[in-house]
Amino acid sequence: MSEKTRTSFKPSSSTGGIASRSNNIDKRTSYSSAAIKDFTNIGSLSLQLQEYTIIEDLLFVMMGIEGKYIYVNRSSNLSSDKENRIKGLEYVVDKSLDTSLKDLTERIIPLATYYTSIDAFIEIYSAFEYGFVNHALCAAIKGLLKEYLVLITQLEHQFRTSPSFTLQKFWFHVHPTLHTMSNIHSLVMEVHEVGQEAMESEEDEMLILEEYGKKSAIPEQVKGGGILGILAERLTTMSGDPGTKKLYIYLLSKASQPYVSMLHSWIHHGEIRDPYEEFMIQERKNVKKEKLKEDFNDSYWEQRYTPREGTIPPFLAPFKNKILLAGKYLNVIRECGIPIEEPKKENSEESNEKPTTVDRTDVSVNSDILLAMDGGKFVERIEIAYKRANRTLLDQLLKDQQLLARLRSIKRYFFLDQSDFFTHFLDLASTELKKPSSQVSLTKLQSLLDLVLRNPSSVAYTDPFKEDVKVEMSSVGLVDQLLRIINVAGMTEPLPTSTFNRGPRETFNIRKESGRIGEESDGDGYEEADRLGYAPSLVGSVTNSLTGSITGSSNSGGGKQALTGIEALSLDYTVIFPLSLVISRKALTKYQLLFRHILYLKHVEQILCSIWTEHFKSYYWRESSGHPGVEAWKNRLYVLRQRMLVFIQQFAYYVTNEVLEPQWRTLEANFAKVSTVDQVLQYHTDFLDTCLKECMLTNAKLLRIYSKLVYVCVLFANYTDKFTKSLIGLKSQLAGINSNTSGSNNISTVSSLSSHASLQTSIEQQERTLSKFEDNFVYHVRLLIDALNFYSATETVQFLCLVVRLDYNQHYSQNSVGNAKIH
Amino acid sequence: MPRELITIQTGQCGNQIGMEFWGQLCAEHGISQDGILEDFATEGGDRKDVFFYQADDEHYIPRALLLDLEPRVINNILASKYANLYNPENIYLSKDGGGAGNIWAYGFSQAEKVCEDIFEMIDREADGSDSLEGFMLLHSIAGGTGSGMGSFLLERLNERYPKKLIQTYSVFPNNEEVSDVVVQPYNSILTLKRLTENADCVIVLDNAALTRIASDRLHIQNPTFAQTNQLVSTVMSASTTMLRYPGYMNNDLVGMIASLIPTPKCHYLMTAYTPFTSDQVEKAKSVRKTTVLDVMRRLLQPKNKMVSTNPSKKSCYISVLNIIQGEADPTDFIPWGPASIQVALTKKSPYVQTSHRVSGLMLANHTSITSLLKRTCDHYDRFRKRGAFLEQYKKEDMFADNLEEFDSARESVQNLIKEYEACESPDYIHYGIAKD
Repeated sequence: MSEKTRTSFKPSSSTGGIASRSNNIDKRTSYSSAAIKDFTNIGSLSLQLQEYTIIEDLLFVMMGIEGKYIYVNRSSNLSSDKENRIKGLEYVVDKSLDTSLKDLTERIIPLATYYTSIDAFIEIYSAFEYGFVNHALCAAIKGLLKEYLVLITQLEHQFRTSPSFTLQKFWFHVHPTLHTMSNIHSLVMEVHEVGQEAMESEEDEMLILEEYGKKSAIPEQVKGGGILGILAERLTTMSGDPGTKKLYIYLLSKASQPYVSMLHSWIHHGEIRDPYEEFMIQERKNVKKEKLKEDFNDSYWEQRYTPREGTIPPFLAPFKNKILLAGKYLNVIRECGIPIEEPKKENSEESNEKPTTVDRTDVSVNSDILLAMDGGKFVERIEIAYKRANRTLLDQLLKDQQLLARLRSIKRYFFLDQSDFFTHFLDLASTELKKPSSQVSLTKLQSLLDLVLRNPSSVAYTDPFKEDVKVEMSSVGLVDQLLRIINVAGMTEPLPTSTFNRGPRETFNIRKESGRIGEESDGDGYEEADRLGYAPSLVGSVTNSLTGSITGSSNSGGGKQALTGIEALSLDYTVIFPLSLVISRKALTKYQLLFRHILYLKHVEQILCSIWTEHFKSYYWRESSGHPGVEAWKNRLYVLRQRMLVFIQQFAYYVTNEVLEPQWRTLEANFAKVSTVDQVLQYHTDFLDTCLKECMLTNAKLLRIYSKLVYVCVLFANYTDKFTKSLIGLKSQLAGINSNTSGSNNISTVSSLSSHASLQTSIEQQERTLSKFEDNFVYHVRLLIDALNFYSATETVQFLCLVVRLDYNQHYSQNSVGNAKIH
Repeated sequence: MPRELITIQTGQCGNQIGMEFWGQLCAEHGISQDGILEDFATEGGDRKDVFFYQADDEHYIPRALLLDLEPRVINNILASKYANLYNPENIYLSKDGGGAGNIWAYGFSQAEKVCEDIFEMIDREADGSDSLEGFMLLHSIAGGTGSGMGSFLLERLNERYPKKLIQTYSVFPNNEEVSDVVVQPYNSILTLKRLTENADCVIVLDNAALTRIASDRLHIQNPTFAQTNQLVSTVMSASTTMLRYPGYMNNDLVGMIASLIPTPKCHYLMTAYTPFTSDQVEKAKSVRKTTVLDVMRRLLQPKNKMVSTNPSKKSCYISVLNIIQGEADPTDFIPWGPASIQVALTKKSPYVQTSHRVSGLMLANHTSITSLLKRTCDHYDRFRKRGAFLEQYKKEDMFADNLEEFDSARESVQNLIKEYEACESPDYIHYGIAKD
């Protein structure tokens, strides 16, 4: 191809013979001497002489040297700085030249301008900071200029040797070159203009980012990908002209070579060798993989490698993502310390093709750039590299790093899917966990956990990753933490709740209660504020009657209270590098949230069970008092405990069996068919998000109602001792009455009456206390069921399962007046 | 590790059931007849320490006490292939070996006499466990030893271990047939009192229903004791799977039964199991394919219940827990259906091959249990009116002076029936006041 290009610079006919050479020389010497005499007025010379003089002048001017009768137009070339040099020098011909000659000469003169311009461009853009692509481009153009100079020499030779060499002939030979040179010149000008514009637009930013400014003084639009983009663009727009097309193909193929080799090393090795920041992908070295463990946002994966959006050559744009991912994946593998095989070895199964693919590299790239636009080898190679990188990293994650086994182990610890060890742990650590979280000894808990995990009869004993589980104390209560997260999320993105504002308000009686929600604007900020303010007011109205302590700490002011160990208990899990891409801090935090949710359910279940044991095993509860009133009170207490237990257990069943386990199965099924690493990430994130959502941890309202319900349960449990005491008190009162009546045989009726009355009042008092618990619990369960019914339309239908579970025999929805209301 | 259960098997029936039960557990955990873990049992995922402990030589030893007043059954066990499984120190045989002669009172007083020996054994076992959760008593309520000795143990265990759960697997006699134990109504009523007052959870196994299941469902015309006992051991192993194959929930006994039994007295649970196949009962004909839904539905069918009751129109469930065993996929459930009955999913033993994919056990607290209790009372009342066969009882101290104990037992059972009936009404919550 370059051969062909070169031909256009040669004179189309090698005219002139040796015979006529001497003749010519004679003429020239004589003319030149004449010219020297009065070169100020070329018009006064004879036509023939004028022609010779002007040809001679032209030969100089074409090389950028000022001639005798062709001058540089000083007025338009005032300064000689870079900017103007690139524009090229303008020449004017002596006015006295014969018109016909002048006309021809003026047609040729632009070549001189082009030459100076291109020459200046080469000089400037060959500087190291312009990058490899520019160097390559300059080299290519330089090659062309060389041929141009060769042409000039050939012309001079002809001029000196052939007597029949006229300006017309000169023009004839130079004409095709003019075309080429003008093309190069316009290219040069365009590059320069783009650079100029970019400089101007970046000027302001540069001032701000002074430190970066020095580094990237050359705008990226006129480097690397930018240049290739310009070339490709021109190639397409001017492809109608075969000559121009050839020229650009030539330039593009040359200029893209360094770029292609960069691309090559990126998609095959995951490395960027890009000292001049020309490549389409940018590496941020300050984003360290070590940060993955702490960083809540997955910035490593997202930010370490980013495409330079502005400078992707248009013909590579369709493959942008594949190129990015291919290298990214390989990079991860390299970061793991695993050597990346050469593509040759990797292609071993296609070993026959191997030498050709490698040898073809340069050739195929040349044509590939051209072909890139309509698909070709280039596409294929990116495709192959992408698939290979994908496969390698997937294998690395799924096989070598046992991602699934890891996740299973995490599931065991965070979802407690085989929780025998954890029950034991809670038993052992119960005293420690009752303390305020600040006083809990982490080391002690850790050693207890280790003890439990290493017990050979535990199911967890066989888990190879049990060393990675760590006990942690969270500083914030689960509900508070979740509410904070929800609030933050609400600020940045519109929550689905904003749509539900416009939903059927009248069906949702919770909404109606708080009147002002109805009028609120759609602004998120308002909404948040309202939601925050609204819940306490709701609680206030509900729980006013209840003991102050309930309202006190359920108004999400609970955060200010010191957390107990059990409330703060959380787990952490050590994840090493390549896996930490999937199990990032963000993911782990989600796991932790779920874990604490489940843990607390378990805890409440356990304390309710312990009340059950108390009710069943302790003498006072077991023995009948014989007094119907007391027995009825006991029964109500049993029933309330039962309701709470059923609520907690059904909730836990829902969370584990209807959310976590099915979602997990889906995840496993998805993992079985994944083909890219990003799919893995996506599925995993989806899995966690769905779990959080269906466990209703992402909805502030549901969360608040739920937390209040649980709080009532816990309060009830803590109140058990008092109930037992009251029972003992009642029994002793009763015993007093009985002994009285039996002893005195109804004689002292006054005292017995009074003691009867006092017994009655104390029973009533107990019943009132119990009623408060009952009312509060039932109220909130109803509230929750209503809310779930409502949100099942906007959030997830899964909530309906929970409704069915909580209210299977429509106990709550049918007895809406409430059988808890007594007498 | 945690939450161990000690099994106490008394009398002929209790020991026979126990033998089957331990055989089943060994098979499920991959433990050989000598208590050694089989080579293939490496899959893990199970917890053996609830029911077994490891001796110094890696033998798995059942936390079981074998008590009887006559040597026949226990000698059979010691002659069987499982002879080396049990801790010989945990076997108690009455020295005279005469048995209780099917008289509750005799069994009770015998137990009282050897109380020291027995509790020494129990204490030793209890000391050997980290955090004992409770006791499981296997017995029949009709015979002499199981009912009498069992009753005695129930009373004493509660005194001695006031915080431990007591769960019993009680075999109720087949009232419809003429039994060789003529005094079984007496024995039953006396035992029922203790079960009501001293046990925390009674799993009722009705011999009549077991026979019916054997003939109807498994097409065995005259089931032997061994075959019905296999049915029982299947139920027992199924009801303990949650403890042995831990899952998300119900990893301890209390969590399992707390929700089933709301008020202390109503703690009689009935069971249903499906499918019974030839795996559990030899020579039985196999049943159909199984799915979770299928199993769930069949569990609620009366014919699969292991208790013969005549539910009245008012009878209702107090609570239901279905234990689904096997490769159950939680997404198999219909979202609106009976899945909201508490359903626990557990793994199946990897070592026991079964032809069915899923099996289910239902533990239900159902008020129709009263019909069984009433039947027992009727039988008792008829006997009592005639004053038949009371001489044997009067020989013992407890009944020497009067028969008040019978009356109190009868009253206790009657109260239980009343309470169950009260459960059927919506204002059970005010139960007690109604009596005013």
